[in-house]
Amino acid sequence: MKRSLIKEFRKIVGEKRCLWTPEDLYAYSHDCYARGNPELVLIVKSSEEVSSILRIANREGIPVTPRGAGTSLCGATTPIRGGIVLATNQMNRILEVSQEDRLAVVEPGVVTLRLHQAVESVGLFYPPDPASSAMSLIGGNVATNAGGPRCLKYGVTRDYLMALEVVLADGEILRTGSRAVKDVTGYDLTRLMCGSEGTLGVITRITVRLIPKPECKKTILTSFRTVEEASQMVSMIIGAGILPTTLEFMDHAYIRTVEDLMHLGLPVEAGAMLLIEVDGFREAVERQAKMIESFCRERGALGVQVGMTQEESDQLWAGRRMGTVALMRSAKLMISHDATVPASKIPDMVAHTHRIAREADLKVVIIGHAGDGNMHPIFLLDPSREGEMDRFRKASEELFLFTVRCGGTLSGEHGIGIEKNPFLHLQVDEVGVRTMKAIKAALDPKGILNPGKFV
Amino acid sequence: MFTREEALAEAIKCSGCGFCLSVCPVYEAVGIETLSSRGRVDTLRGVLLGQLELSERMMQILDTCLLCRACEEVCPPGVKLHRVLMEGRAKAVRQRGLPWAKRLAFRRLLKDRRYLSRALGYLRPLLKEDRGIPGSKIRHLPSLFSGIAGGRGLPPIASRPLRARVGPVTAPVGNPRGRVGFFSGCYMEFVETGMGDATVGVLSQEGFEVFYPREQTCCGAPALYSGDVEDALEIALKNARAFLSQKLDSVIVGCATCFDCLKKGYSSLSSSLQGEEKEMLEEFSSMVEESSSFLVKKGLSRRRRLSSPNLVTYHDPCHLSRGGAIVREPRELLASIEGLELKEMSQPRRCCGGGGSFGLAHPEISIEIGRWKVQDIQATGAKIAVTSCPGCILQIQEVARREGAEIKAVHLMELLHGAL
Repeated sequence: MKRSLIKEFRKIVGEKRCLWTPEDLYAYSHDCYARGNPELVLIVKSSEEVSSILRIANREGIPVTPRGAGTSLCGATTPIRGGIVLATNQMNRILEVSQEDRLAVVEPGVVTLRLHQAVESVGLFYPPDPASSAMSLIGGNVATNAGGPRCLKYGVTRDYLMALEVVLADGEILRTGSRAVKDVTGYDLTRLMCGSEGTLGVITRITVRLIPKPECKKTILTSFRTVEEASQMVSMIIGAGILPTTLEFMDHAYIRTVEDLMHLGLPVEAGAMLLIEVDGFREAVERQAKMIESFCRERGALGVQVGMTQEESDQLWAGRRMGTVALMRSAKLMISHDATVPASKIPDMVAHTHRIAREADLKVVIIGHAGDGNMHPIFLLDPSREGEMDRFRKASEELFLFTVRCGGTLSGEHGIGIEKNPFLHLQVDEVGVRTMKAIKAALDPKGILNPGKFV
Repeated sequence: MFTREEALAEAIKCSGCGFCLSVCPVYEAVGIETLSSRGRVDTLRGVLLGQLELSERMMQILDTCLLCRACEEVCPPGVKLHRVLMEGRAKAVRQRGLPWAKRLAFRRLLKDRRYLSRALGYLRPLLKEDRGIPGSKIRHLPSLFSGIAGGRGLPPIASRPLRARVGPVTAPVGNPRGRVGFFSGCYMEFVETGMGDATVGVLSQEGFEVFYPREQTCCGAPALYSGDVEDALEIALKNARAFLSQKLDSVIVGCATCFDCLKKGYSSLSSSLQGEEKEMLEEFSSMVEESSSFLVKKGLSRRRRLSSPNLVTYHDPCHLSRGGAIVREPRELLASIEGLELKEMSQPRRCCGGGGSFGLAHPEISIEIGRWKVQDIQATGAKIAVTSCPGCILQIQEVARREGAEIKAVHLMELLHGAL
């Protein structure tokens, strides 16, 4: 990048937030998935700064990759075409939490957990809770339409968006939506931006819808001989009119591997474990928990444990939370997919994934959000083994083909980024790709925003 | 110390997940990835792999870590950042040498209490509050000589060092329960000597005969944490000799940082030694006990009560809670004091931002981090923050004063001593 340009950018953000030493470029070159080669890092503090930067970048045709906390699992924030990394983490003010209008207005750099805490302190609730919420930023959550375990009942990030402020590629500032819960005025540009992974604009202000905070919650951990039995249990619960907050699934391979590593006393003979949470008013929660418990016993569950207090609930979650940590420590490389299928296909999906992995000589364990079919086959890889990564790539493709064929999707919550870009055609046909490209061309004709990603 | 291979083995474990970003206090204060836990592991891995050089920026990256190890506690793959960082700093010393001021401090002053005492004697008049330098307390003494940091005052030096007030042997009160050594550390020795009095006092109240060998010197943490392994080793051996000449059950330390250095630092230093010296350092290191943990192990023999009921909160020094897993013991001691009520702050284990000479080298970051700590203390309603590290006490006191917060930080041993 030309010195004169760097000077121009530095004038906008000031010396401290304009970084270009090799060390800074190195630290900002990657997310959780891949590494790129940025030429400049700009840390922004306002929409005006973003606008001024994009105006110049657009004029000069410089790639700009927006970045939140850099926790993407699919390379969505990897600056693969160089150019500028635009970090939004210092735009971190919570501008408003309105109890009357039940909404919050925030800047994109607010850590998701901080938003949770801020709204819960006044009796409100922002449900989306990606596993990364302790460090991921709300801007990144919107850009990738993040999910999490609570989505079965409450939905994903896009279901809570009311309005956005987005700086477009040419520096113009777009304001979408309103503060009204019902809003059918014009195209739904808010939802268009949500999940666009920074390819259509830079999100600089977010208005989220809030709901009343549930009074209490209860956790139930149960296990079954087979995946089918567990799956039937899920149908039975929902069929009885109960919509659990969370329905976490863990398969036999996961239980065995985690038990070997951690000795938590997990039921190693079980084909599947379910971690179920219900929330709401105390009386309703108690009744629902009792119903679930009796269903489990009727259906011959291997064991049922109910957690009443936060502490007991944490204990029941230990196998799920600490388990993934143990896996990460045991494997040289751990890659978690998030292929998602309709709920009825979960047993097929589990069986199929294991068959694919067996044939490819790969180690896989499966967890998932069973209620919404969002499965996480976790591949435990050793890149030093001959051909392992090639076999993994082929296995992934087979897996994606399967999910798409049974009416599912490549990605339930991680995003496409560069990881799943090669597989996009499996799900999105020519008309779909053309439509996406047309939208991209209309909003970012020079293609400066997060180039090289799925569109 | 940690080898390049050990450091690299740690660094390559990092998967880049970013969980550490949620707890890195420096990252929260500066908002720059390069100066965050993840950024440090990442760029240091770059250095170890030969992709990055030990540039000026790299020195800043090495230098702006508090070594609070909060990142290590939440890291899913279990990266021990301090190992990577210490190897990075040691590599920097090997390649670039030490700055002259640190060289003077580590090579001369830290190795002999007499030199340090004399040097501080000359400095004392300059550090008095009435000379226009705002009085705050000293951190690790070499900071004094490594460039005086803008905006932060230096602490008043005590008119008489601890050794002029506490004799080489203090007799036990009541039935003798054992003989212990007392390792004072620079802060208790030269600045807040009252904490030293109190620590020796409590040990004696509890029936321990306390030996206070005069040959001991600084724990060496400033040298060790700066990557100056050579001088740290020399200092370590000197301390080991000072205590091993006596027959002692344990060596008691009242400073979290000294404790971490004597316990963990010395045992990792001993790996580079052989034969008798190695054995000596290992033996000494194994005898070291932190004051609160020692007292809980032995059990308090006397009842203590406050003259008037008081609400306090407890701050966990990083070097105790994460360094030595000593979290329960100080609280047990507090619970044993009648008339004292402990109210926990929301994040007692969060770093106060002191970090040895960090506060002088990076006053803005340090004060910003300290501000959260002070606010957290204030939110409990307690006027007294108890802790077990003179460095933390200095930091909390100074930030509280700047913020106009009416809170006082005291050492746990002072509280115990005064409550009898």
